[in-house]
Amino acid sequence: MKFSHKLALAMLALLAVVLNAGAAWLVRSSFDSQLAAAQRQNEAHHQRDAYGVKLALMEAGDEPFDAARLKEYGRRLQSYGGTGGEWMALYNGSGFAVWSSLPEAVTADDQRAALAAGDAAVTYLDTGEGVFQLYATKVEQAAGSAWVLNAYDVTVLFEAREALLRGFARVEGAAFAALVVLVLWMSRMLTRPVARLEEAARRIAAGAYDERTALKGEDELADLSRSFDQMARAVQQKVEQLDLSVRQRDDFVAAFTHELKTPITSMMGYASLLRTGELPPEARKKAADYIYHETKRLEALSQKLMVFMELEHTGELALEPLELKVLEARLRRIRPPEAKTELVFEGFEGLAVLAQPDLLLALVQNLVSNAEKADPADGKVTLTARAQEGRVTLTVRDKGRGIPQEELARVTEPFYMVDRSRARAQNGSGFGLALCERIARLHGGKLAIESEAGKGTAVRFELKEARA
Amino acid sequence: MADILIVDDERAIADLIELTLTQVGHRCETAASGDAAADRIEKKRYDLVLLDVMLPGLSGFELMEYLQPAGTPVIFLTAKGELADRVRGLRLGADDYIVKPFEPMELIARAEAVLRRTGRLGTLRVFGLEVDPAGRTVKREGEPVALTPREFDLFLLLVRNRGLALYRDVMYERVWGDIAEDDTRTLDLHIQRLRKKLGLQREIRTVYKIGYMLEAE
Repeated sequence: MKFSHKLALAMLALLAVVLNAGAAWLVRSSFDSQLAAAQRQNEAHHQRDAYGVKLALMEAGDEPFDAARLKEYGRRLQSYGGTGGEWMALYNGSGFAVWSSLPEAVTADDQRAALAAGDAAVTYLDTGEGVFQLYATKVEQAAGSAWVLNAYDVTVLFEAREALLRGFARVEGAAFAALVVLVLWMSRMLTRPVARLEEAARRIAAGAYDERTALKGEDELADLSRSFDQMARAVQQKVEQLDLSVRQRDDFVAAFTHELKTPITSMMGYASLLRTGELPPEARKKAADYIYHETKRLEALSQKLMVFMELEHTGELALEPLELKVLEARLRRIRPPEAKTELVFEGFEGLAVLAQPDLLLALVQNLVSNAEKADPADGKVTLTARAQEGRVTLTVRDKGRGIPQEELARVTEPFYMVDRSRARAQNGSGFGLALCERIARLHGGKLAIESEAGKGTAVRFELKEARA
Repeated sequence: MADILIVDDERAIADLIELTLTQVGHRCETAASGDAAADRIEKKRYDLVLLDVMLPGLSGFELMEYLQPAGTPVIFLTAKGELADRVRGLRLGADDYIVKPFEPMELIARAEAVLRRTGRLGTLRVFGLEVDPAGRTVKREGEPVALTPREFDLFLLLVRNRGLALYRDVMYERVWGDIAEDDTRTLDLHIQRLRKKLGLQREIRTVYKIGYMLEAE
C-alpha cells in the first residue's frame, strides 16, 4: 500500500468519526429537546384530566363514588369534547379498568405497567406501529379513589428523527465522496517529494551519479533532500576518484607492457639467433651483449618499480631529522669513480630537514643522474638548499640540453621519454622522474621543473625544515 | 637478395633485424630516426622498408608519404598492437604489420612474403642449384628437382644459414614446428634424402655433436 494511500485512509477515517459523532450529537440534542417539550405539554394535559376526576370525586361529597359513576364520568367527558389527552382510561382505586378510549395497540399489560410506574412518571411504549407516552395518576378523596391514565402519540417525533438521520446520511455520503477525492489529491501532493527522492535514489543506484533532488522549502523533506544531495555528491566524488585511479592504473599497466616489449623483442630475437646454430664469434658476442644489457635494464627497472609500488601503499612516511651535510656525504660516496661531472653543493651547511633518508637520497640521486645525462656544458651539477619559513627548498640545476617546453608536463609520467633512443643508450627507464615525483609528494612537496631547450634544467622541491 | 631499409630508434632491435636478414642473404641498412630515413629514401630505392611507428622526428605514419610515390613495399614494426593502429597502417598502404615482440624467423617469413608478392624476391643460387623461395622449387640446370614440402623447408633452412652449423633440435623445431623429441631420426632421414636428391653428399655436412651445415661456396 502506498504511503499516500495510507495517509488518505487515516485522514478519511478520522473525518468519518468526527462527522458521524457530530451528526449523532446534533440529531440527538434536537430530538431530546423536542421530546422534553412534548413531555411537558402532555404532562400538563394529564394533570388537567386528573384534576377533573378529582373535582368529580370532591363533588360527590360523602356519597360513595363507585365504578358506575366513574364510567359515567368518562363517557360524559368524551361526549363533551374529549379529554385533555389524546386517549384516556379510568380505573378504580385498585387499578381495575372502568372506562377506556385507548387504542387497541395499548394492551392491558402495558396499562398495568404504566400504573405500576406510579404517579407523575412517564412511560414510553413502542407498539411497533407507533410510540406512545403514558402518564398515570391516582386520585384519592373521601368518596373513593381512582386511577387516571393518559396516552399520547409521539410517533411523529421519532419519525422526524429517523428522517433527519437518513437525510444526514445522504448528505454525508456525498460529502464523503468529495472528501475522498480531495484527501487523495492532498496526500499525493504531500508525498510527492518522497516519490522524487525515491526516484533519484533509484537512478543513482542505476549509475546516474550526477542525479540531484534539490527540493525547495523549509520542511523536513527539504532537509532530507539537501542531505540526500550531499550524500549523492560525496558518492559521485568517490566514484570519480575510483574511476580515475583505475584509469591511471590501466594507463600504467599499458605503458609498462609497452615498455617491456622492446627488451623482450631483442632478448628473444638474439636468443633465437644464438640457439639456431654456431654463429660467428663477433655475432655471438653482440647477441650476448644485447641480452645482458637488456636484462640489466629490466632488472634496474624492476627495482625502481618495486620501490614505486611500495611507495604507493605508504600512507605517511616516518620522517626523521637529517642534516644536509650527511646527505651530501652519502651522495658523494655512491658516485661512480668514473663520473665526469662535478657536483657543487650550495647552502647545505648547517641545515637539517625532515625526511626519510634513503628515499630522499634516491630522489636527489635520480635528479643528479638526469642532470648528468643532459651533458651540462660546464660539466657541473649544482645542488642548492635554501631555508625559508620553516621549509627548505632543494634545487638541482644543470646547464645541459634542457627539456622542450611542450614535453615538460609529461616528463613525470611513468615511462615517458623525451628522446627514447638516447634514454636507452644511457640506460634510462623513463621511470626516474615518476619515482621522484612520488617521493617528493610523500615528503609533502612536489617537483617543480623549469627548463629551456639548450640552456639547462632546474628541478626543485620543498622539504620541512628540522629545527634543533 | 633484396635491399632492405630498417627504420627503428632502438639500436638493439635494428641490429637484431639487420643480423637476421643479413644472415639469410639480404643487404640491410639502418636509420635511427624518421628524418634520417627520409634522407635515405630520397637518395636510394629499396626493395622493402621495415618501419617502426614511434620514431623521433617524423613518425612512421608520416614517412609513408615519402615511400608511397616510389611504390616501395613497407612493413610496420611496432609495439602498438591496437587494432586502430593496425588498420591505419594498412590503410596508408603498408603491406604488412608485425607486432613486437616477434621471432626472427617470423620476421624473415613475413618480409619474404611481401617481397614475393611484389615480385622483388629473386632466386638463391647454391652449388649450381637455383632455389626459388617464392615458388618453392629447386632447379638443377633448369630441371626441377622433386622435393616434398618438408624437404624443401629443410633445404631452405640450410641455404639461408649457409656456413653456419645448425643445432639438430632447433632444425627440427623450425621445420616440423614442434619441440624436438629425443628421437630426431626423422631429421636424419630427411637429410639423407636431400643429399641424394640434390647430389650434395659432401656439401651438407654432419657436424659432430651439433647438427648439420651447408658449406659456404
